[in-house]
Amino acid sequence: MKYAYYPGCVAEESCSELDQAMHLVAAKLSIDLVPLEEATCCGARDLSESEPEVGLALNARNLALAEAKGLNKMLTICNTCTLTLSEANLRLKTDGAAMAAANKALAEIGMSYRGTVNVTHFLWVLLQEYGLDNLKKRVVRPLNGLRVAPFYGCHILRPAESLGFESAEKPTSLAKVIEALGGRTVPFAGEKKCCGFHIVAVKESTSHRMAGRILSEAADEGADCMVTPCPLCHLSVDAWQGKAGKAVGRNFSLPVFHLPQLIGLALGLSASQLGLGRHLVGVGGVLQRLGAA
Amino acid sequence: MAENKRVKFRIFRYNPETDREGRFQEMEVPVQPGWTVLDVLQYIKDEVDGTLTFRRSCRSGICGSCAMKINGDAKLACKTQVGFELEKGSTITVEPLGNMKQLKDLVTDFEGFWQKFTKVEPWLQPDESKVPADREIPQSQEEVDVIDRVADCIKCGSCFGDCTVLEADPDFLGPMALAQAFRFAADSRDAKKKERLSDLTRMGLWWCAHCYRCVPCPKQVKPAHAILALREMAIQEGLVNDPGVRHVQAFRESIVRYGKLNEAMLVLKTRGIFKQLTDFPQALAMMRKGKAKPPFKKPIRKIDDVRRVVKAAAGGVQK
Ligand code: FES
Repeated sequence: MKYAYYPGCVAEESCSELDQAMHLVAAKLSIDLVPLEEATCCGARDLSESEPEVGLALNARNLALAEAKGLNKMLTICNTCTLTLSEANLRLKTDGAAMAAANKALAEIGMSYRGTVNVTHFLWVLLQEYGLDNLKKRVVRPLNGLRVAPFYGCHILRPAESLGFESAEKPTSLAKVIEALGGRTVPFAGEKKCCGFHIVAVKESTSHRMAGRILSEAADEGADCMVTPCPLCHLSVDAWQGKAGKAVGRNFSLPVFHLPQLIGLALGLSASQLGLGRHLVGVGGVLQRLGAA
Repeated sequence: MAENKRVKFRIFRYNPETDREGRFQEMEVPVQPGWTVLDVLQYIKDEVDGTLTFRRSCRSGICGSCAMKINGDAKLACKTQVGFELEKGSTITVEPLGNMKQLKDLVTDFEGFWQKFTKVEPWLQPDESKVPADREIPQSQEEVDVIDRVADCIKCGSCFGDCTVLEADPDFLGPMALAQAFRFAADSRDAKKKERLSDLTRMGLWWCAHCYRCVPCPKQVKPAHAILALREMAIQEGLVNDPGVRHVQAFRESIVRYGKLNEAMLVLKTRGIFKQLTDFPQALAMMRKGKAKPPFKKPIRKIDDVRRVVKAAAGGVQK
């Protein structure tokens, strides 16, 4: 299995532990990640809103970089990258004028995009292509009934018409992965709520209250930890967990794992290999329980 | 005739005269093929418990009375098939809309919802001197198309009830009011576009986190898209003195300069140096974990390619 690898900016900067864990987990699962050294930021929601044509051309370039390497699948590990790239790709493939305009811009640098690439997220690859049975077979350190709250966030689910991998109303993919690893899923009200990341610089107090509510809902259901497929969500509920707690008048200490980290633990990778020491909220309790400390 | 099917429901009950707080009542209902959740509620009211309170009128998705939370998502009870909800699990949970005061059982107080609607002045404000004396102001089909979809809003409150920003911040205008603000700001007959956009910027146009919870609207109004359109209009009108706009602009600048997002620069430009400095403890904690990067960064390989593509796509105009 071979993918053009698009980690996104945050997994390369403040959440570089995610990129690190993804590489090790991919190696364990024999998933080949081909780097795209010249890829740009996807522009997130910001560029695709303020200047859709520029966002579209840049993402056509990103997709064309994968195409030029003979790859027809691009793997992301960030919700917002997944949505932004999927949306751009869908528009390029279905709107001839948009494709022509993007290719006109790409012609300036001698490139073009033919629309042969599909965008996917690591979570989807596990379910759709790798298979959970396969994953189960590689588990050497089962999560042992660890109570894990699945936090999906937004852009891996909505808008459904741009993504359409699973039900945006009742997603189950994370729960399935948790159970394949031997953990117990803790359903909670905030599973598909917004972590507030995208307004943290605009309306900080509101953003932290949004994250605080999600953490409250997970903690109240008795979760030992949380797992997220998105580094932006991770910043909101891990790096800013203290502020999120203050915003809702609580004091949390809920470890939050990036999806590849939780998988990596079950595959026998060590805490330091998975960069768990870079989290703001300590994960020691969970490691001890799993005998991984 | 096809068989009835016994289906379990968990229905939120609350009577302000006797209960300190609400609770869920479980009941099994013999559901006939094709029944909607509203049919079930009506059956319970007629046959089981006449005190069950909910709003409804048209029973065909037109009046907007019957919005409530069904299995966690706000929707119209009269348009929601029991069979569809059963695909998610064997019990169907029915609750009142979120972000509103609960009045009784499934009925909520729409007061705040209407107040926000009023705040965006949802009426046409044309330039009176240009209104013909003898007839209405004509609009082309294209002009109608711009606002047609948002004008379909039936004010059911679904988007308001599920808005994740409103949940944390009651001051936010919310999706319905913003979508209706777009309906007038983008109306070719309206003369108050700039004032409207300036008021909206002040009232929190940039607080929407684009979570897209309001996109599955029963009437396809899709407020999130209207909010994005308003933001584009606001930038075009030069209303750029807002952290939200600075954020968008810093994003673009970062990509043109480095090809990637420069987190430190983005935050600095959006919030300003002073606010950033006062957040020192958080910055320090993140620095210790290697999570805060300095605002110096090397551009990606072939950054000139990126700049040329941006320039070409923006029509050669460097904004
Ligand atoms: S009863 Fe009128 S919309 Fe449902």
